Amino acid sequence: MSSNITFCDIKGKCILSRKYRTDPLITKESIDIIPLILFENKLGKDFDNGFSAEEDEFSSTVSNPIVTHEGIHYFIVQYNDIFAISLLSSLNDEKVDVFEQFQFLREVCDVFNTYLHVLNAKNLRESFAIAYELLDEMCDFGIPQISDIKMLKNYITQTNRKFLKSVEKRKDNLRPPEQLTGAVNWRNSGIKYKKNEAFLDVLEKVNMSVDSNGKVQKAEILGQINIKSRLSGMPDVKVGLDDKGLITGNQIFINRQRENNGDLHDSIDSMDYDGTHGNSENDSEMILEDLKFHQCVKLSNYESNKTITFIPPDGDFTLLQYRLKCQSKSIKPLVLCETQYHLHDGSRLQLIVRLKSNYKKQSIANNVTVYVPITNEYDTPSFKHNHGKVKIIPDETDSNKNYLVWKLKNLSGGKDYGLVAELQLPSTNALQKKKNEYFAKLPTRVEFQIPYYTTSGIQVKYLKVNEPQLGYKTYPWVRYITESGDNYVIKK
Amino acid sequence: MGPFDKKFKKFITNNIRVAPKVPSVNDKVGIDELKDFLSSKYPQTRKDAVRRVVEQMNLGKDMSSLFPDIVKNMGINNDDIELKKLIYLFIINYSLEKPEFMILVINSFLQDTLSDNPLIKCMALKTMCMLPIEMVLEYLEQPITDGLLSDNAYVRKTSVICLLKIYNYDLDLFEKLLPVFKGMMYKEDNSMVIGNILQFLMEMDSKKYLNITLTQYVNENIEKLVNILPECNEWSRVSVLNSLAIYDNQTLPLDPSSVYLLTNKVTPYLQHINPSIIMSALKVLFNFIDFIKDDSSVNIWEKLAMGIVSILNNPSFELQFILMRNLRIILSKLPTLYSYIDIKNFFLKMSDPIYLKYAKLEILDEVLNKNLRKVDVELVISEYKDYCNFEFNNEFIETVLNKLGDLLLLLDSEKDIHLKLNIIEFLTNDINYQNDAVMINLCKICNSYSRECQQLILTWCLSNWESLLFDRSKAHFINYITVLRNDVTSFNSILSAFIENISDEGPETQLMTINALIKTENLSALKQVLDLDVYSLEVKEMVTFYQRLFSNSNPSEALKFMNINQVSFNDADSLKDKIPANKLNYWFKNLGYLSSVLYHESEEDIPPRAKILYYKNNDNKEKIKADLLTLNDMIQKDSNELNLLDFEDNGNLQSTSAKDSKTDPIDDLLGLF
Repeated sequence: MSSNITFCDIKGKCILSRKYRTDPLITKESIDIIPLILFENKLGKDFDNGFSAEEDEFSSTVSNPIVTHEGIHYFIVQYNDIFAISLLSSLNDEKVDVFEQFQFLREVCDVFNTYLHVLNAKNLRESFAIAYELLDEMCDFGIPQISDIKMLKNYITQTNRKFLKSVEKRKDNLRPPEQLTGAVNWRNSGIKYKKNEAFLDVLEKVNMSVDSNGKVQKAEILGQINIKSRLSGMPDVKVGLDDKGLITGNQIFINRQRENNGDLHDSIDSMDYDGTHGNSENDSEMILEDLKFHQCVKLSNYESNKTITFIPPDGDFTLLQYRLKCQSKSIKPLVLCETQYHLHDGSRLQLIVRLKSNYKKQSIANNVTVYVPITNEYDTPSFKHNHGKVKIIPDETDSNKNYLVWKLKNLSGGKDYGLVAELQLPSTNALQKKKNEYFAKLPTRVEFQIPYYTTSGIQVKYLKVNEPQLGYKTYPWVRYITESGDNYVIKK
Repeated sequence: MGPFDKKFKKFITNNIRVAPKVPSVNDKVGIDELKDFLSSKYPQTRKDAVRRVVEQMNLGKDMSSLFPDIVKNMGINNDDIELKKLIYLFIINYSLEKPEFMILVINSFLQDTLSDNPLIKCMALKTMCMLPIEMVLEYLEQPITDGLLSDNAYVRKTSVICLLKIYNYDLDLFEKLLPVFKGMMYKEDNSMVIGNILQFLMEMDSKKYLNITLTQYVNENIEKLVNILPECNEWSRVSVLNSLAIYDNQTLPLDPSSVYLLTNKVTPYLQHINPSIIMSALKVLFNFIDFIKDDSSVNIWEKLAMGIVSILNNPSFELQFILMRNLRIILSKLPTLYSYIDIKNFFLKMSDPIYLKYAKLEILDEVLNKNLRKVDVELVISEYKDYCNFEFNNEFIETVLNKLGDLLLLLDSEKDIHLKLNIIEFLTNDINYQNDAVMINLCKICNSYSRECQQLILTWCLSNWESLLFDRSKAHFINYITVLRNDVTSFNSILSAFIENISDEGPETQLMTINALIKTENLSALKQVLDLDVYSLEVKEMVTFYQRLFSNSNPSEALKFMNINQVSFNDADSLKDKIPANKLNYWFKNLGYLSSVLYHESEEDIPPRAKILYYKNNDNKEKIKADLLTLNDMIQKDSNELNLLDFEDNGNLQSTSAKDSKTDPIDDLLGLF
């Protein structure tokens, strides 16, 4: 529960503030003081020497999400250029579920983001009326009520209502729908489509850190299945996955086996771990570490017999998310990038980048981009390369850091490309040398997308739709894509 | 005029802007002008004007003088919900300043509460309950009663919250409404309404007013609550789970079959996409952990660990941070979990915000400390090294270096020697501008028995001591070479260098220099140093003490005595501090609540002034008295703690204290204000 939810711009100036409870401690001053609260810790930070003072890379983030000042707690969430802050007097310490507060603030921001197209200070100022209306509906007396965007859209509309002339029609439209408080509180009744379709996207992001010899140190796969449902009525949907028992297998059984660390193959021959990479190890290649389902999935069914059944919301949603930890010996980096960083007398910098694609020849990776961190002080750069484009861009958060960016539109499997870059460095004092040496240690980051491919080998076997009353035919469409995550790095 | 013309004319008046336009945000517009717009004959103009007024109000401008003009617009277009919302917003904002105008609006409100559109009905109810004005309150009894008994779940769930609002404003009315609530409380089976009922029970003193505690209610309805979980929306699910999490199973134990049912129904939610549901489910299971039979088919620990790991990988840094803070409590309470959570989950990511990085370091520390033998220490060391390499914030690097130093202290067995060497090699390998931190950490392990380590450390220290900047690190260095003075050939020259500059050094270095002279029994130098008049207050005390010793006894005995009285470092050692058991239990019960996140103890940290202000407003006189008593005690104990002058300045207290007219010793105190 919260006493007040306030939205501020990047400087901490209040854009709108919704009071939920009359609380003697929370006054207008408590809101006026927000800029100080947001930036207090930052200003107070001294740095030991000039070098690090220049590098204050935290200037755009909050130093602590919970600040207490004068008996008031401020819970701060940053979203685009907005701070969403929930205020609460310390008298209610024991009544506040902090998790709920933060998650709710996030969801409020998400809802705003959808309603305002993009949530930013400018849009929020313009559409404050709808924002207040939403805040009023989503939370009552500081207690979160509703955050389901699909339901809210049914009765809190942004379109200018003066064109909805007929009184009857308006009354129908602007009622809270029955389902809001019902058992299936994420789907309206009476949805109709001429053609019933469901689009499934299996999206996997690979995070990896690879050492200079091309050996994988850490690897994980963040996967999710997104569905766009265009189905009529109240369909019961069942999704079948071909996942070698990772998700729909008997998890505990596998874990047991893992713990015993014994001969896996004898006991479970039904589960075939010789997957996409060909080199079978004695141990399983991937371990499911985390699996999360959308609100609509019947968790008890999954718990008892590992089937994924649900009544889908209409439109786009994420059905499930999973995270797989990969044994480093059993996974090869899809795209490998070797960087040599030569600093000649501190006055000249030579970079040799080799890019190798490690997947099947038929597959093609799109938008392959290599980021090599370099200093911001250089001149007359020259590049030698045969493929793609090269340029140097500044880092958004750190003005001292630039990236040498090498971009290829596409890269087919089994290729090996090279790039030589030379930069002149202006002056060579000790500080700059240190800086260059520091950059030399930073890893190279790679981005790419490989369509029609999942690293884990997870595939959708079937999608069964059963709508008892309408009994229509459905057309499921499935797409696979593997992407680099935010943390696909190769050390030098 | 034909029918078409009529329609056409109506269309024009309503839709095409013949109506005067209200200036947009960027143009200045005076209050008088707005007043004119508000009473314009064109509905659209009036609506725009209302919008403009609320906008100005939102920017903090005083619009209260327009109250009557705004209110006039209330009854005009009853179906325009947006207009209604804007006007309500205005009224909420200014009602306290202009209660006399409320008579103008009360009728429109009451009319709205009779609307058959639940949305309008609830809007009116909600708004009315936000206005703690007597005139409004006296009209509320009927609408809320109707609301609680309504067929529509949406109306019911709003009415329950309204009752909670009334509880905060007007206890008399609240007590009048209670029987109705009691009646519906047991019959209710809609998930969302139940969610709010539970919130209601969690917030109020249910024992006093309903004659039933939350635990009793949960106990009587356990099956319903558990079965309703699948159809709850996210937030009512959090409410249900939270009420189960604070269920007091000691006083009113559930029978084993209920616990079994509850565990089975709650564990699936550890895989929900909403992390606050996961956390609440975790709390429920923690609450019943002693009563759950660990039957072999469901390993509860594995499930719990999976839930925790799931939050740790949530994209929201704030939630990760909160869990990190709580995890320390959870792990101390349930050490079994250590072996189920992979330490890799605590490793820092480049993109983590700084507060999360520190929180993660704390947890890593905790894990290493408690569970060293089961952890892949080498992996942790290489992680720590990475942090030093990839991080730019010196303060942070220093913390990491300290953690490495702590780790060196932890690794004491002979077989860890390669790990130790690993760390020492890294530390001595020149880390940017961190000589001070490295020095402190290396010198801490000066009693290490291994020659190999010692040699490495010594060489590094001797070649780097001149670059030290801070008092603390210099002191450590002196202490270190004093211990090893037999191995250090240049010991005397280093020491004399420090003595030469002793006037520029900080207190710790000064003390350590003196200490070194005592240890080496260098009497003449010691006397010289003691006679210098360069010491700050803290050191001076010690120096005077030593001087007296010399003057009162013979030098060798004095030295002997001084040697016993060793100077030592009082490092704040976060590593070893333990959470006291009673606090641990309290925090463990309050996981996810503020006290467990900030490591606070419930009400202790609230300034008493704030408490009184709060209770005053709530008309909670008994509590005020209790607090005034404690306040009285505090004043007697420590007059500095409170600034009484501050109270006098506060007009709020003055006005309210008049109400309390009983003769009571506390009244003397109240009279003060």
